[in-house]
Amino acid sequence: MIKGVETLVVLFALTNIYLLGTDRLGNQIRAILMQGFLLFLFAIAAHSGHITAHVLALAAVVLAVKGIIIPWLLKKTLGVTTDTTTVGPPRSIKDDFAFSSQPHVGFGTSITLGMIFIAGSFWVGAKLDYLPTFPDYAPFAIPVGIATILSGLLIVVGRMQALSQAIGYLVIENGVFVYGVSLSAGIPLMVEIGILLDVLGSVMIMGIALFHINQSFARIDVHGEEEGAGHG
Amino acid sequence: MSTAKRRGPVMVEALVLIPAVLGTICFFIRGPGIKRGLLVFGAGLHFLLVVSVWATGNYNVPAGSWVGLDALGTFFLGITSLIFFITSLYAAGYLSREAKGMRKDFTEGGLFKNTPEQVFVGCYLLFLAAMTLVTVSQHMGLLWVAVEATTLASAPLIAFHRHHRALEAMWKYLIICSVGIALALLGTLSLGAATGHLGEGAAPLLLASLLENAKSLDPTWVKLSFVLLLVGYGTKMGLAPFHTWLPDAHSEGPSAVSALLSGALLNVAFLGILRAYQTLDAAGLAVFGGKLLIAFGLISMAFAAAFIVRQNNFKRMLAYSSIEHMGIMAIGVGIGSAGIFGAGVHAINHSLIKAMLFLTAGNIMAHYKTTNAKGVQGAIQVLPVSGVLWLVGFFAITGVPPFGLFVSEFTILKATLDGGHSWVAITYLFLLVVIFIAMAGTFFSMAQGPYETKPGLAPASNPGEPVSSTLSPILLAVGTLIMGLSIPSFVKDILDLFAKTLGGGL
Repeated sequence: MIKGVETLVVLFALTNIYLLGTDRLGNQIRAILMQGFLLFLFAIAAHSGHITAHVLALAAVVLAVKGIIIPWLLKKTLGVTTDTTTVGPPRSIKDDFAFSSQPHVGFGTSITLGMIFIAGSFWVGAKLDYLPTFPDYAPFAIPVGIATILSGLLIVVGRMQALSQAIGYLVIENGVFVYGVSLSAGIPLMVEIGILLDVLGSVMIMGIALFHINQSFARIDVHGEEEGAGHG
Repeated sequence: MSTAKRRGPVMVEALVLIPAVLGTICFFIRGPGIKRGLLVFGAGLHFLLVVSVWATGNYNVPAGSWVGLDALGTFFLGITSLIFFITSLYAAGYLSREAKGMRKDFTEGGLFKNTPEQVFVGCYLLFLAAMTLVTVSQHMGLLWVAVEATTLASAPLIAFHRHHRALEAMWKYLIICSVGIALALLGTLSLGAATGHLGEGAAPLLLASLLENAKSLDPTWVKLSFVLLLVGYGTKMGLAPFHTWLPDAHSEGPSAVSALLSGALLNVAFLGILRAYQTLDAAGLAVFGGKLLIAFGLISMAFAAAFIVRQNNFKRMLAYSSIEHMGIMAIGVGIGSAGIFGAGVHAINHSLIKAMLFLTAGNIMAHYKTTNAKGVQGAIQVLPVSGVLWLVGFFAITGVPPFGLFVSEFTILKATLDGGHSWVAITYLFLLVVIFIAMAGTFFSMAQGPYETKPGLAPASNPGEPVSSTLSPILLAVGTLIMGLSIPSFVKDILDLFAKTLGGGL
């Protein structure tokens, strides 16, 4: 069964590379959906020896939040924001903040960096001191968790699209999850569910924020009020 | 005995639930008067309950409980509740003065409207509930959940004015703080890993259990977790270089929100770091944590000084000043011994003064319709109360006696010299002087000078300022003056406990 867990972790690492290489928001959301399902399987496989009610409950919440609700919310946000942005005059520098597909970091560079993250994390992971309480697959999952967090950070700082930044944040959270499940220290179920609900709340508020940002930009366009990129 | 035992958890639940329930109710109430009444009522009730906890002076957490009021948590809860209550009085008046419907954005000229008032008041109260939960958390996982909840509750407050600058500030706040806090989660999990050998029933992330078993934890994982928690909660606290959300959120949010962010939220985030520091201290690794805190403290002060010099936006100037003072608090704790006591005094005074300054800045903005310091002249003449408070605030925030910050900055300086950190002391003093000089120019030119009536501004002979806009800052100013003249004994008691919990003291 350890083999199964490791396969899941490797697949997870591949979704990161895919995310780093695609500029289509639809594809990015699909990758988030895939990661959600992989995390659900991982949550079960990691405890394959001793499936308890706790494990099943957590896996169910992971599936619901990360595999279904969040991808659906992202898809809905994408729909709402692109509907209105296709209308109106050409976009200014300001609008690029929300919806441009121009990344700060190119896709080729991103993929290369993603590969380096994975290689580097395994290199660091080999030197880590694994406590006797860590499960057997920890030398695999901890590096992938760290590489995922780094990939997420790269997406947050490297992309200008606001929705992409939200996706980057979710990738970071997923990385923390992979890292966390591999540390056997039992976190109470209530706390784990609280963490997932917080993440869900963040995505909801981000979606609402995007909706209003979109409206606010549309209004500025209508009134012809623009300014240079002087924020920050 | 049994009643005393029972009272603890019930009190804790009431403190979290009262604002949470009232906040939720506010989302469904249409009448503006009722909502504002509920806001002030909830804040007042919360404050009374907190005062009653302080009055008992009993800070024992029931064994095995996830929530409880220990000295450290109660200390920050007291500051939070006081600032929230005073700010809520101001917010109620502010909401009644806000114009309805679409209106012109005075900075860029576009049109915008406000977030519905029920969302604002609801989130305002939920924000208090979330901050209270942080202060009562005795479990590192629950603490994380609560800190993230403060981000969620406060983000809509920042974008109360729905123009694109406020929305961008809110976006920046959400993304940067969420990412930062994700790193804190990584730190929390690593701390759990360090306790892995304690076995199934040990509730590894319970603070009491961590402190009890600190000596047997794996030091590498404890250190790793502290670094991650420091970076994670430090982002929320506004330590440089993770502070980038802070100036935008503070300058674009309404003043009642900026006051709450600086006066309450930043302290609460600091509590997250202090909880990690408690464990580090118990594990005998305080020196490692102290060095990091001093380093980030000095970096924060330096960043703040660099951005306060020639800062024309006076709300941004106040925001950078918050970064400076968070840095000073980090240095105080990092130095240890009397420095920790100084950091506690600093936390109280900074909250009082910064909240006062933001509220006063709000009054000035409401009159001059600008956040540019160059557009403000003769504030004393046209706003007699706010103008004077603005000058008083300048002396208070830069640590001039007899105000409270003088006491704490001096205590921290003395502890630094006593501890033999002379380079830290020299850098600290130098940065304080730079910031004093830079702020003096802005504050004085705004308060003094002739008042010119410009188109769109009220004439100099306008009919006074409403009590609802001046009462709160006056109360805060009096508070910091009292703290500077002589620290009241009930505050001194909890400050001693605060310092003792973190391994320091006078």
